[in-house]
Amino acid sequence: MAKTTIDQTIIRQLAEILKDTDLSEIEVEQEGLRIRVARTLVATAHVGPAMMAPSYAPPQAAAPVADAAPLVVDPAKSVGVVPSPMVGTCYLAAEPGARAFVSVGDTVRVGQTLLIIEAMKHMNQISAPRAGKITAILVEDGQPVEYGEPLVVIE
Amino acid sequence: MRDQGPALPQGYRALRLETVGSTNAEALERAREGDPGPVWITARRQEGGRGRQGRRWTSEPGNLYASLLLTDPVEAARIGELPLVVAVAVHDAVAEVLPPPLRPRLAIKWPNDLLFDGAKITGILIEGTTVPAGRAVVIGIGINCAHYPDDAGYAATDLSRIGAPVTPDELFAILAEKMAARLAMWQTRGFAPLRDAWMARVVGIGTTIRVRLPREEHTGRFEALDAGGRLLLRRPDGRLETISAGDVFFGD
Repeated sequence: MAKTTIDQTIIRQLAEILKDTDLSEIEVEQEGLRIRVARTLVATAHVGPAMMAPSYAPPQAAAPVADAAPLVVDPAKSVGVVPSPMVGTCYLAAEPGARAFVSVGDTVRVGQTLLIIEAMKHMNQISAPRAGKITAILVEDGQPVEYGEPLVVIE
Repeated sequence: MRDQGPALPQGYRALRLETVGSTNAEALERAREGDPGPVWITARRQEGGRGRQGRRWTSEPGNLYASLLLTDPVEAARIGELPLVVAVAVHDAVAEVLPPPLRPRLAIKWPNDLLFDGAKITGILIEGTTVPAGRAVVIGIGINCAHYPDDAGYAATDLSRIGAPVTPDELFAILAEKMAARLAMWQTRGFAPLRDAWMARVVGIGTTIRVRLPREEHTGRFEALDAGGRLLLRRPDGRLETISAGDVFFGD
C-alpha cells in the first residue's frame, strides 16, 4: 500500500452504510487500498466498559472486532441461535469430566438441556427452545458469558 | 413417605421422604411433572447429595436436606438476587437455634455459604429449569446438624458440635418459616432490604481474597457487591472485576 494515511471519511461513510443496512461487514477496494469494516451484532457487551466486560473474558472476545467477526457474527446471525438469558459462567457438562449435554450433530427435543449457566451458585439449565439439530456450539466449558451472547445454534 | 409434620407457612406444601438420590433432583422431577410449588422436599438421607460442579455433599441421616420448588418467584430479570435472599433466610434459621452469645460468630460467605468461626455449616445449591408453566427454581439446602465431613478440603462443623443441638425436623420448621418470610419480603419490598441484611452478615469485604474460577484463580480485594449481588474484585493492577461464579478463599 503506497498511501501512508487513510482517508477517514471513507471509513466513516462505510460505517454509516453498515449501520443503515444492518449488515455485519463491508469490504471495498479502491486504488489498491482495501478497507474492511465489520461489527458484531450480538456480543456488544464485550466492547462495553470494564464493569460489563470482565477482564477474564476469553481472548477471542477481546480481539479486534474485525478479526472476531467471521467467527462470531455468522452463527450469531443464524435464525437458530440460542442466546444467553443471563450473565454467568457456562458449563457444557453437569460436572467436570462428565459427558457434554449436547454435541454438534445431535438432534434435540424442545426442553432438552443444552448447557448450564452459573450465576452465584444458581445453576440455570438452558433448554432447547425448539427441536432440531445442533449445528454449532459457540461457547467453551467454563467460559464467562454475557447477556444475549450466542450459545448454540439449532437448525 | 410421610406427609405430616410441623405446620408449614400458608400456601406451602411439604413432602417428607426417607431416602432420595438428591432432594434437588426430586424437586426438579416434580417441576417437570407439572407441580408449580411452592413445595418442600425433605429427606432423611440422600444417596447422591451434590453441590456445585457435581461435588459430593455428604448426606447421612441426622443432618437437614431440603429443597424448595418455586415457579417464577419474581420477574426473570430479578432472579439473580435469589441466591442472596436464600442466604439471608438460612442465616435467620440457623441463628435462631444458636444460643444468642454465639450468633455473632455466624456469617455469610459470598454468595451464600454459612460459616461459623470460618467453618462451613451449610451448603446451598440453586437449580433452575424451564417447564411449560414457566421457569422452575429449586433451592437446595443442606445444614449440618449432627455431623460434618472431615475430608471436604475445607473447614467444616455442625450445630451439635458448636453447642446448638437440633433435630432436622425442628430446624426444618424454622427454615420453612424464615424462608417464606424472606421470600415474601423480597416479592413485596424488593431487593434493597435483603441486600442490606446480607451485607450486615457477610464476612470478608475489604479483605484480600482468592477467587477460583473454572480456568484460573484471581487474587484481589473484595471491594463490594454490585446492585445484582455480584462480587466486585479489585485486582492488584487497579482494575475492578465483576465475579458472578467462583469459589472464594480468604487470605493471600
